[in-house]
Amino acid sequence: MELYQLTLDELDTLTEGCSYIFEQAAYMSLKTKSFQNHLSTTAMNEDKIKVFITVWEQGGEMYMESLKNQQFGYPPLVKDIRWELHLPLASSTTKLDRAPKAQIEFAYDVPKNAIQPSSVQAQTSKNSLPLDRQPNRLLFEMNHKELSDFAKQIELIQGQLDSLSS
Amino acid sequence: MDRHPEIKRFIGMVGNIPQQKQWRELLQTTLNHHRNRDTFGIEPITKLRDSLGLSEDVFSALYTGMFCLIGQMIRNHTRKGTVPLETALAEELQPLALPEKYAKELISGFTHYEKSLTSSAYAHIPHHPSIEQFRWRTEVTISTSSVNRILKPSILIELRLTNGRKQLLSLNMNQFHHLRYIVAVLLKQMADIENDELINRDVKILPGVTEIV
Repeated sequence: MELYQLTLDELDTLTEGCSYIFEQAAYMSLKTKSFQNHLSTTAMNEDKIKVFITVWEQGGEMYMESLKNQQFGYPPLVKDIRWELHLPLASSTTKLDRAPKAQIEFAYDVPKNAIQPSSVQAQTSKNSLPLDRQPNRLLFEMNHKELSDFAKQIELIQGQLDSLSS
Repeated sequence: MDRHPEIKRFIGMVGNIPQQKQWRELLQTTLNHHRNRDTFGIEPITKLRDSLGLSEDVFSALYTGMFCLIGQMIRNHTRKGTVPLETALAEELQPLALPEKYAKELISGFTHYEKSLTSSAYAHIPHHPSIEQFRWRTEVTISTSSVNRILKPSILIELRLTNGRKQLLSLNMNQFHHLRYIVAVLLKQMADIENDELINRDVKILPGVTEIV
């Protein structure tokens, strides 16, 4: 503030103004040329417009990407997917089974202030989650047949995505 | 099987069951016990003991022996071998030297209930829940309050597991492709394992595991 010799109010107006300009640019997903055109219709000096353009060129893309990826937090976004392939050898009741099992675990994020439907909260409170599984992890296993069925469903989803883009 | 201490004692006590009918009763109760491990109460066992009219020691040795014997039979035959079940069982029971009629009854009872015995044996093993229902939805985010036109696809999935847990999750495109890759890798590895010569050999005894009962 001392650097520019502004009052608090003036600094406030300055930052608010600049943020507004960038927010609007992001909202309309402006490219550099159209941004420049828009700015030149305002009563701004050329050199100031140049500054805006340079900053936009450097950080504009990243800013827009982060805005696009903003989430409300519900439904929880999957953060990580882990897997394990098991080959049971023996157990208390069976022997030499050799039917491989696949285990898949989803790790997901639930932000603190996220919207949660009341049914989910009721579920997680009375659900007896195994103690060694932290919350926000979903683990399940499948044998070969179940895994093929799952894969079929995934292929269906992929087919839908392909028809979206075509 | 003949080296199992409970079974050895059992064989010694078979003389206490002179009648075929009693053998059949013992067999039925034990088979039902194996089929419903979790829900089997104490009443059928006490009823059996009263109907057989044997002393505590003799009865407990007989019952435990029969139970272990059937357990071992289940253990050895959960996988489909190349030999038909009855011949394989007859061969296994050979060294035990049971009276012929009794052995036949045992084999026929076992083969009759084979499916439910194997499924209850598998249910008894510790395992993670598996997927009961998998629902999904493809979504496209058209715009938000911050950006006018986004047009970003994502996937919404709802999984319900066999332990009752229900979870709604959303996957962005990267995660979905990662999942697809994982599933493909797992399928391939599973197929490789199942076709692997070394693993599929029909080995009767796993070295080092004979002491586990």
